[in-house]
Amino acid sequence: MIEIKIGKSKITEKFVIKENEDIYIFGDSGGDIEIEVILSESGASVNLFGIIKGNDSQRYNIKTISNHLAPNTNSRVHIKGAFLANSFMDYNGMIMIAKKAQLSDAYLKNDNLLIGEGASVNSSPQLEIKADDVKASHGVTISSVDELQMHYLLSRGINVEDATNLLVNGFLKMPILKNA
Amino acid sequence: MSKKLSPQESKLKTQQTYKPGFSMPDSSKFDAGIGLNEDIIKQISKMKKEPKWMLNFRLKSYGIFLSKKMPDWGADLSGIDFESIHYYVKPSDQEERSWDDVPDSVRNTFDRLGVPQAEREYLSGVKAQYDSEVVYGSLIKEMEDKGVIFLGTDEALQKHPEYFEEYFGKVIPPADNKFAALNSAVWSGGSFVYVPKGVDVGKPLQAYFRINAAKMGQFERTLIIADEDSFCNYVEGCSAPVYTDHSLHSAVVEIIVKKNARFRYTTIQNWYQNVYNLVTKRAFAYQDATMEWVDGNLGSKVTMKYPSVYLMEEGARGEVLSLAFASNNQHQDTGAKMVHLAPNTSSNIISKSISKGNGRASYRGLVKVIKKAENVKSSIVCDALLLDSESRTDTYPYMKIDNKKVKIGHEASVSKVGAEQIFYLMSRGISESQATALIVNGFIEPIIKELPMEYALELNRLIELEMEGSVG
Amino acid sequence: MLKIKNLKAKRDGKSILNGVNLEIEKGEIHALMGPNGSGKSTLAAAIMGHPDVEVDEKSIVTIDGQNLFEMGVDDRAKNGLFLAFQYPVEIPGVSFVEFLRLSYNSIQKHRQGDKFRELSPFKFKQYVEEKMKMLHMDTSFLDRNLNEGFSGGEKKKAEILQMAILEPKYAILDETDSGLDVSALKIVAEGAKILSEEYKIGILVITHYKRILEYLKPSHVHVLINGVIKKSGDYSLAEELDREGYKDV
Repeated sequence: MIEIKIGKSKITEKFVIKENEDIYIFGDSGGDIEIEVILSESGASVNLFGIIKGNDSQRYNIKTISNHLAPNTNSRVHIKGAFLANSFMDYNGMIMIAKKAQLSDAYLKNDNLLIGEGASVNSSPQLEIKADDVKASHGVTISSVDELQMHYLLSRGINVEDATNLLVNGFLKMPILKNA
Repeated sequence: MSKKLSPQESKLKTQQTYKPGFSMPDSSKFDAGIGLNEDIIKQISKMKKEPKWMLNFRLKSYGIFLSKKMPDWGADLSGIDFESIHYYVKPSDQEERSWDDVPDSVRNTFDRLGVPQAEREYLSGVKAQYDSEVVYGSLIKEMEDKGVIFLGTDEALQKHPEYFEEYFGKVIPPADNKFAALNSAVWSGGSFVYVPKGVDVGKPLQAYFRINAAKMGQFERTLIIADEDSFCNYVEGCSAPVYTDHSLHSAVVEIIVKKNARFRYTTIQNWYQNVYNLVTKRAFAYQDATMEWVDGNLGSKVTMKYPSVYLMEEGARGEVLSLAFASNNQHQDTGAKMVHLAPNTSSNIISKSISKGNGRASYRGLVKVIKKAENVKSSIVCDALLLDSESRTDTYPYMKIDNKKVKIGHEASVSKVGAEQIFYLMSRGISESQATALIVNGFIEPIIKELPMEYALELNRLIELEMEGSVG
Repeated sequence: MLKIKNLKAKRDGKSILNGVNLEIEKGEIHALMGPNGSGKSTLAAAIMGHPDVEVDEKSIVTIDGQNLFEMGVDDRAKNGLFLAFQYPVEIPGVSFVEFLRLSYNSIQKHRQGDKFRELSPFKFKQYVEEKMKMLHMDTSFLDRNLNEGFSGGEKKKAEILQMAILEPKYAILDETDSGLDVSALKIVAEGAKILSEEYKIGILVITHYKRILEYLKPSHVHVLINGVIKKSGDYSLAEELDREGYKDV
């Protein structure tokens, strides 16, 4: 398992995956990161999880690339971000499947919670698919705190700030991927 | 062997197509030759007897066109040779082609689709005119009785200049992109539609435009104004193949949908495989208005087209249903753009693409929500179907969200035709190519069901034809 | 006659059928039973020509003398074979009735040759409604898309309805009873019986349970174990298996 913390200076990483790998990215002070995972051997698989917290006015620039170069390879990318006042993320998530990477399965999800005033997100998940016998899909959600959930917590005597924290932390906990 | 009309014959033919009461255009022959310069633009404007402001608009746009760079994204446009294009030929002077020159592939498709002979000749440029009076005359009268204005853009500029002064070039300014600038400089032809307050047009405005498909000039300019509380469904193009010599089609469509009005614009494009089809289409939707684009791209060598809706005021709603079929050597680079400029607006994009042979279908889309646009809902679904191991698909969606009170969801998937599905259909006696056609038609059904029936049927048959070609 | 001769087949490289022999005459009802993993579904898949099943080149299955293994999947249907799938696949956006009309016309064209005239959508719908009446089925799923969103019971009924429309010579029902409640089972089983009697269809019912056999009353019961038919008998064999299981076979 590989853990990477996003910091002040830009991080650029390329991982060549021959078997299996789990990679986690964490961010809670803003920053810039570009990660490419290259699935180079048949049967290789990778999970790339990101937990991003945008505190007051922090800015993130995140790029992930899932690059399938061999057949029967598998990638799961799940980036979750929660953004407080005036924070911002620009996320670009690319899935590439080369012509010879038949029978590959690639999935990417980016879920974003916009909490604070002035929080904003740009998200562009992209697909470049050159093989036909594959499964490739992606999804993005961008929303603010669920009003019903907030209402429920408030009705149990919890104040807004504490309730927001509860909801944000729940959202950011270990990402659970749906099976695509 | 093409047949040139003498000036007298040309004039006679022109007189036959125009109803009494329409102003007579200058009927002398005019071909500006190849290449473009300010003099040619001045001549075009003079021939059309345009007001001075339009000439200035054209010249200014030409300057912008020259100064703008080609886009560094999207499809490969390096094959366009701006120097060798005829920028203006009067429609009535367009030379007629011989039926023998029409490619076999086009003729075969006409056969299989059962296109009537007169239409075939028209769609392939063998006949320059189409006798519309009998079939469409009554439809035109119906529109007139409701107060709907429905004219060619050239004529509308003459007869209703006030709409042009107010709206022309406002939705898509010439500086928007290089091809909008080109169109703004040399535009000719296209349609003008005005739907009065409260009018429900009733039948789709369609048949009229099927007959104009082949006449579609290279640089059509369409302006549509749907006044408050109106309802209109407008259909153009046709799914039968359109054979043309013009290799660059760069059209602009501007639409204004006023308060509480609802407008749907449906296009089915099946240009011959030599055409670069680069179109800028945009609508402004005001308070509680709804704008729907149904966009079908079957033909051309390259299409770049992203129908868009700017949601200007509260309650506005935009929708794009996009269908792209990229067959051999085609690149369909299409999608949608939704810009939320006001709170409580919503948008919905459904894109279905099919790639066959070495065709490439790309979805390119943008959903933008500005800071003050709260309570926005937007949903985007793009599905791509790959039919061969050579086929290619890409998805490039962008979401730029600056307000936190939103619900934005985007999903995309890529797959091929399921072997289990093919097996099931074949076990019922259906051949492999028919089975593939059924599945492909099922894949695009959410979009097909929004088309007027003749289009839907023809499109389904076209898909079947394509599938026959694809299976050994 | 549907004649299965020395049928050997593999799935994913693993041998599943190891030499199955079976003969079914017109109008006869045969049951095929056996424990999980014995190869029952693979038998159905092999005969219909599923792409994932590799059939040994010496295996032969003939319908009235024609070797099915020399034909493509659609030709097997045209020559009179029908398979009611255990898990009918969903095909979104494809209308049930339009699919069925295409299937019907394809098969009839093969059977009638030059005399063939396509049924119009209207006439076809009438034809389907008649058959539904015959099977005591209601018409709600006609207007929907092929198996899309159908419940388990609806899927199985739809398979039997297709059998009624296409009038095959021989039909294989692959665990058509699985997952059905009592009333759905009644409709499906009685429907199959009516069709067998009306059109003299030879039927092979693949099942685990005696329930469906109580309606269909097969004249022959076979037990498939490890890819071969270990025992055959009449209906009483089914009752015996129901009481005692497969261990003694």
